[in-house]
Amino acid sequence: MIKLFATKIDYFLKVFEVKKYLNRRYLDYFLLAFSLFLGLYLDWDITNILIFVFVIWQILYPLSRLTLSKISLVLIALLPVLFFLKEEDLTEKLAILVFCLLSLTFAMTISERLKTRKGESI
Amino acid sequence: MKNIRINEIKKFFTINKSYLLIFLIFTLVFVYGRNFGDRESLFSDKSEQLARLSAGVYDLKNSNELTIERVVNVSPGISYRLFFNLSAMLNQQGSRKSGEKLAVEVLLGNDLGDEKLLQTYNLSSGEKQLAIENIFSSDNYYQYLKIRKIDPDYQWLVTIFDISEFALDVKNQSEISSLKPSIKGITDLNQQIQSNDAGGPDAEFKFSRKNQKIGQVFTADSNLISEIELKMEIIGTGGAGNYQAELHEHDPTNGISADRLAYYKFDAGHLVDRLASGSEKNSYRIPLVAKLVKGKQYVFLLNNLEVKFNPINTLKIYGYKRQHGDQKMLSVISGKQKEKSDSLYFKIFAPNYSETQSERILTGAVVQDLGSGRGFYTYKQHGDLTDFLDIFETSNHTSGQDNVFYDNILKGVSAKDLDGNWLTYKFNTIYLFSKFAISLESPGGDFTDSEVFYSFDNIAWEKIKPKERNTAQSDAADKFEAVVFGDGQKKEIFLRVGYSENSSREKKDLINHIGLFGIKNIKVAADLRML
Repeated sequence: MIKLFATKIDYFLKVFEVKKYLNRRYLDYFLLAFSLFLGLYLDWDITNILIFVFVIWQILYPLSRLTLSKISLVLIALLPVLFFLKEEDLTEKLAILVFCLLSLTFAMTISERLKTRKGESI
Repeated sequence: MKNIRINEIKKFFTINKSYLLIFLIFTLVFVYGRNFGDRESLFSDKSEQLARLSAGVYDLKNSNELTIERVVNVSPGISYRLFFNLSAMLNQQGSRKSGEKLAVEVLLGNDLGDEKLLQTYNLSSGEKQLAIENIFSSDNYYQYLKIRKIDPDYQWLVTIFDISEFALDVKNQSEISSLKPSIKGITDLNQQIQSNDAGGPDAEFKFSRKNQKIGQVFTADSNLISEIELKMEIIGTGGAGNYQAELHEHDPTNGISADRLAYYKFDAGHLVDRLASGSEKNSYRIPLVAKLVKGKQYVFLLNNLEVKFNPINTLKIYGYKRQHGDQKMLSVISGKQKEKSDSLYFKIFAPNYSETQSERILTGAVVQDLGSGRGFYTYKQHGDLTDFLDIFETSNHTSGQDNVFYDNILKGVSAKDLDGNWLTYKFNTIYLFSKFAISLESPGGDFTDSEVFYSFDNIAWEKIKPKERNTAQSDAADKFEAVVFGDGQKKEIFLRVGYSENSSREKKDLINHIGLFGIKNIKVAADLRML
C-alpha cells in the first residue's frame, strides 16, 4: 500500500515537475492555504478559520512561549475594555482566542521543557 | 527506486514531525469538524419568524416592549372583550433562574402616546396562559396592543398569540356584569398515563451510526396517546437535518409493523420548543398522537435517517441499564433489528378535554356573550396536535387502522387516500346559531385533492366546493369557504373531509405521489342566540 502510494507520488512529482517547487517554504504556504480552504469548506465562521490558520502557522513557525504569553496578556487586558464598551460578541470571540493562545503557550512550555531536557542529557 | 522513495518519505516525516502533526490535525478536522449550525438555520429562522408573524404569533425577545399594530381598534364609549394567549420561556443560558416569575403588562396604546393598562400577568418559564379574557370600557381611541416586561430581562421570551377583539352590545357596568361567562375549550395535555421513570437515568444511548433507530416497546394503558416525554441531550449542534419520532404497533413474533401510527419530525435546533415545563433538565415532550388499543403492544422509535451527524454533533437519549418489566428496548441499524436488555426513560401523556353540558368543547373554541341576547362562537386550528385530537370520528375499517394522523410537516391532519377514508369534526355551539361560517385548507401540490362536506345531522351531506383549486405544479393550498344558514334551531354542525377518487387515480401515476390527503387551518365562526 505504502509502495503504491510512493509510486503515485513519484509519478506526480515527475509529471508536474513539482519537485523543483517542493522546498519547505512552498509546502508551508500550501499548508496554510489548505487550512484556510478547509475552514471555508467546513462552513466555519471567520474567527474560527483565523484561529485554525494561526494554530497551523504556530506549528510550522513556533513563537516562543514568552511571545505567546505576552500576546495573551495584552489580549486579556483588552477584554474588560471591550466588555465595558458593550461589544459583547467581540469580547466573546476574543476570549476564545485568548483561551487558544493560553493553550498554545502551555503546549509550547512543555515542548521547550522537553527540548531543554534533551539538550541537558546530551 | 521505490524503496528509496519510501525511505525518503519516512525520513521527511521523521525530520519534520510538525508536518505529521499537521497531517493528523487536517485528518481529524476533516472527519469531525463540519459545522452543522449556521447559514441554513439562520435562513430558516428568518422564514420561521415571518411565518409566525403571519400566523398571528408575536414574540417579545430581545427588547423590553412590543407594540402590535392592527390587532385592536378601540373607540370611546364602547365596551370590548379581548382574548389572547400568553406564554413565557426562559432561554437555556438563563436556566439558572428557573423558578422565578416574570411580570408582564398588557396595555392598549395610541399614536398620541396614551396608554391604558389592561392587566399585569406573572408568568413562570414554560407556562402558557390560554384564552385570557379581558373585558373593558374605553374612554379613548386606541390602535395598538402593547406587551411590556416590568423588569427588563432579555433572557425571557414572551409570546402573545391568538389575539381577538369583540365589541360588546352593552350600555353600562351592570349590563357587563350580567353577561354570561364565556365557555372556552381548553385541552389539558398534561395527563400522565404511563411511565417507566425509575429515578435518575443511568445509561445513555447515542446516535452514532447512519440509519439508526432507537426505540422502546410498551403495552398501552389507555386508548389514546398525545405525547411522549423523553430525556435527551443535544451533543454539539446535534447534527443537520430532521430526527423523526415514530409510533408503530409491535407484535412479539413479527416485530415492528410497517405502518406508522404517528410520526413527528424535529431538528436539534428546535428541540428547545418541546422542553417539558416544570420537569427535570433535558426532558422533552414529543407529540405522537394516535388512537391505541389498551393492552396491545406498541413501539416508539427515534431515527436519524435524514440527519447528517458526527460523534461530536449528535443526539443522545437517556435510559436505564436494565429492562423495565417485560418491555424491550430496540436498536435498529440499517434495517437490522436488535433487542437490548436496557430500557429508555419515558412518560406517556393523554389529553383531557373540557366539557360543557356533557358536550366536548373543541380546543381553543370560545362561546361568548356579546350582550343584548347575541353571542358568538369561534374556533381556529393552530397546526398542532390538538387539530388531530379535535376530530370527532374517522372511517373505521375492519383492520382497525383508520390511517389518519397528525402531520407536523403539513401542520394539519393527513390521511391515506384509500379504502374511502374520511374524518369528521363536530362543532357544538352550545347555543342555537343562525349563521355559520367555515373556512379551511387542503394541502394541494402532490397531495390527493380533498373533498369537504357539511351536515346538520351527520347523515345528509352537502358538498363545499373549493374556492381555489391549485394544480400539482403549485405548492399552494386549496381553499374551501362556506357560509351556512341554519333554521335557527340547530346547535350542531358536522364537517367531513374525504378525498377525490379521480384525483387519487390521476396522482397515482406521478413519480412523487405521496398517497395522502389532508386538511389544515380550519376556522369557524357562528352567530348565536343567547336567550
